[in-house]
Amino acid sequence: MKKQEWLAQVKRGILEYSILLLVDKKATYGYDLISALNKWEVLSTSEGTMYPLLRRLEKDKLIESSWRETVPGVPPRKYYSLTAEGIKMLKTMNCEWEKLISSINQIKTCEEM
Amino acid sequence: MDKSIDAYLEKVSRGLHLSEADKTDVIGEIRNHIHEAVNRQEPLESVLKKLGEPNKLAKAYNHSYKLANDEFRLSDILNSIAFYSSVAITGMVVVTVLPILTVTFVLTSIFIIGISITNLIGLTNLPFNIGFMPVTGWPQIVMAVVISALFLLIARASWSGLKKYLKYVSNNYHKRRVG
Repeated sequence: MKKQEWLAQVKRGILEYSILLLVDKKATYGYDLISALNKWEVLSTSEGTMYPLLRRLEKDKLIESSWRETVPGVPPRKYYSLTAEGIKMLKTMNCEWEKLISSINQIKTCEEM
Repeated sequence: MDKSIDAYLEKVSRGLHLSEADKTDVIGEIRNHIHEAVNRQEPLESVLKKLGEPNKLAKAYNHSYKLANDEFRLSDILNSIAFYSSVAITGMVVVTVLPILTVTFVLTSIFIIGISITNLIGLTNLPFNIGFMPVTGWPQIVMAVVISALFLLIARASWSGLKKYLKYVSNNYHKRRVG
């Protein structure tokens, strides 16, 4: 199986989780999110994926946005933060994530299935 | 520099199937992204390249929008109504007529061959007319084979027509449930 293909499949859901985690730490904007995820090669994401995804998360009311003037000469940034629903969702995701990791670990350490 | 940014954003904007307010929102965000990157010494050309083809970017937005609005789309509902009512009407005819046609033509072709043989050996003496010309004996067998073959072809056509119809309906049905 090709590594890229598999990674693309796995990343699809993890990306949303990563974005919610990052936005939960502090309100951020798109460019910052992309740079943050680029620190880890497995999580790095193209602009063409990130921005439409942010839009979807906003439409799903998991995140909300506000425009802020920050740097002179630079058009306003769109800052994202979690909604109440987003916070709830993130808690669920944290919980499910733990379950997922521990299940995989159990499979790995299991002698016989 | 600003000119090529505007040209890029204009192309994205044209590809977006969103309300004007949503378009302004999307374009504003991408405009900010480009400036943030250029501010950090990234060459504009590579920034635009990383954003991708304007059309492709717009499509990604349109797609994510569609997913978010999946609960209610009038065109889909109308489409479903059209699909199910056309299946109900055509199904009534197709599903009853085609199997009957198939069976009838198969049986008739067997019957014709049978009669021509029994006529030949003198067991029966049923008239067997092609047009107004009565044929008897071996020519009758030949005619019977030709006509039977023709009937079998018709039977096969109606059978495969029925299969195609059922496949089309079930494919469409599953597509609807998945989509």
